Amino acid sequence: MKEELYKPSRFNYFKQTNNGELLLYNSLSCKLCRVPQAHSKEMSKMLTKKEVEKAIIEYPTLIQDGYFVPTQADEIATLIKTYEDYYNNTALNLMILPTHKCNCRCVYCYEDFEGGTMTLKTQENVIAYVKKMLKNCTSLHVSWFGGEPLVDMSVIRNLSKSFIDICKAEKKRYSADITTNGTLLNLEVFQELKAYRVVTYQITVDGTKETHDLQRPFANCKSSSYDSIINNLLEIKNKVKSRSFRVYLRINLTKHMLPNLESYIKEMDSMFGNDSRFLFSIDVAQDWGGDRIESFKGSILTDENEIKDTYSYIRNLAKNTSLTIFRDFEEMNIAAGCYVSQNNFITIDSSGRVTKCAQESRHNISSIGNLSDQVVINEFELAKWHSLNSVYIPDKCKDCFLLPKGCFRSCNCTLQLYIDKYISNKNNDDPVCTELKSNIDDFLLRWNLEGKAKVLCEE
Amino acid sequence: MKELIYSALSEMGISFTDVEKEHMADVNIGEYIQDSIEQIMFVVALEEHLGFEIPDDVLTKESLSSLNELAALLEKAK
Repeated sequence: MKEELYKPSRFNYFKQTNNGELLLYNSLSCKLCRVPQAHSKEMSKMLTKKEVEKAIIEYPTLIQDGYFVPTQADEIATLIKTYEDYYNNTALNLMILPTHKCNCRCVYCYEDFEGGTMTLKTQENVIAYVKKMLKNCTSLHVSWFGGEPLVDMSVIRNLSKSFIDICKAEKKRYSADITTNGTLLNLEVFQELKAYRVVTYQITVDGTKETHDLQRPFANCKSSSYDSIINNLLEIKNKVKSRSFRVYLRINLTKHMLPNLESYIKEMDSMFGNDSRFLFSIDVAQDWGGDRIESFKGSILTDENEIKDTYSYIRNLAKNTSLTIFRDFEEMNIAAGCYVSQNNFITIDSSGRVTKCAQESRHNISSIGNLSDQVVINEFELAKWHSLNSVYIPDKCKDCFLLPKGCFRSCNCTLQLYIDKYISNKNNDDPVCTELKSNIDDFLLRWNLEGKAKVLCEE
Repeated sequence: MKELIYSALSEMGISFTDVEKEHMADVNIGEYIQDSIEQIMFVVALEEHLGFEIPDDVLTKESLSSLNELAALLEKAK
């Protein structure tokens, strides 16, 4: 009988460590394994062969976790199927902006705060839309966004109660998250949000008190927004004992925060380092549009190498702490693109305007409907968005072992603009390689230290 | 207690018929919860049904592998 033949996956990357072990990562299966020193040379050789007989592949993990695939396997087809599953997600995902009002005036925020709070009529139409759409969906997830969504709890209260009732009647799952500045998130509000199934929170703390209050001041400038946020979070941390929430503490890096990063990491570690319900998410402040950014543009980090070096610097600072950096997990997984690429995802602002992306002022994108007076969805505009999800791979990326990371799929809005301007040549989209690619060896070593690698000889 | 757990699971879209409940010796809840966010959702739903916060040491990989064991632990924690 003919022996079954396998080949190393085109998405493998491996690195020999100083003690002779081999770290093997596959960006399609998102798995990492560690090959002991005794087998590492032999494994290195196998990983460079064009094909190997199945019988020679000693460890089942090597096949189960996709490091070796049948010679006839089309891994690009598998990848495209993964992307398509993401686009065709059967959950109904809504981003709702209950209000455009906010009690803060962050220097990089694109909001003009001119929109008011969602009317009862619009709320009724949102509920009607959910009732109709949920019939063909498996679950409902709502992301509360703004403005500052907690400035007016009445919208969240009214809509959440209706969504929970609808989902109970339909026997479908309901969950929610919220992006809030955290200043109004006292324990009472937190407990109420918990009843409305808000399970994850994104809250930005831009460095130490000094830099945070400079970048994210209260609109009335009368007190420290940093103090309000930290007091609220510490109260939640100390008084809520169960694992019923997760807080992503985001930092939007700017140039003037760099000298204080060490103090920031120390402070965060002392307050939240011992609590895995709090995760850290590192990001870079950008020109997200609007007028306020004009006077702050000089502080924005724009040089790709400087950004990558800063990420590495923060990671090194965090190494000796108990902090968990969320971005690390993201980077290990497949990224099919922005959440707006999901077919069942829409954004509804406080006026009832329906778009795909919440940052419409940045992208100048067209609306796909309106829920202010009645439920109107423009199927043609929606279909235009869905057509963007056909998988296009730039030449530059075709042979990259990190192709499943989808760096080239980061922003559907940009692609939409190309179409609106009748530029059909998508090659204009020039993807920038990520920090993961530049520092892949460091990432593998850290993931290994964090216990994410499966040890082959223990099978 | 087992009924309360079933109600919390039902809110996650995980439902069992009365016949299934009667004939299943036990349920590995972990098999139905795919990631850490789903686990948080389960905790929130369960706490609402129970009316108290679930101590950190009750919801473990082991207790989630057995509905019977989880029910016993929650009875104790009440």
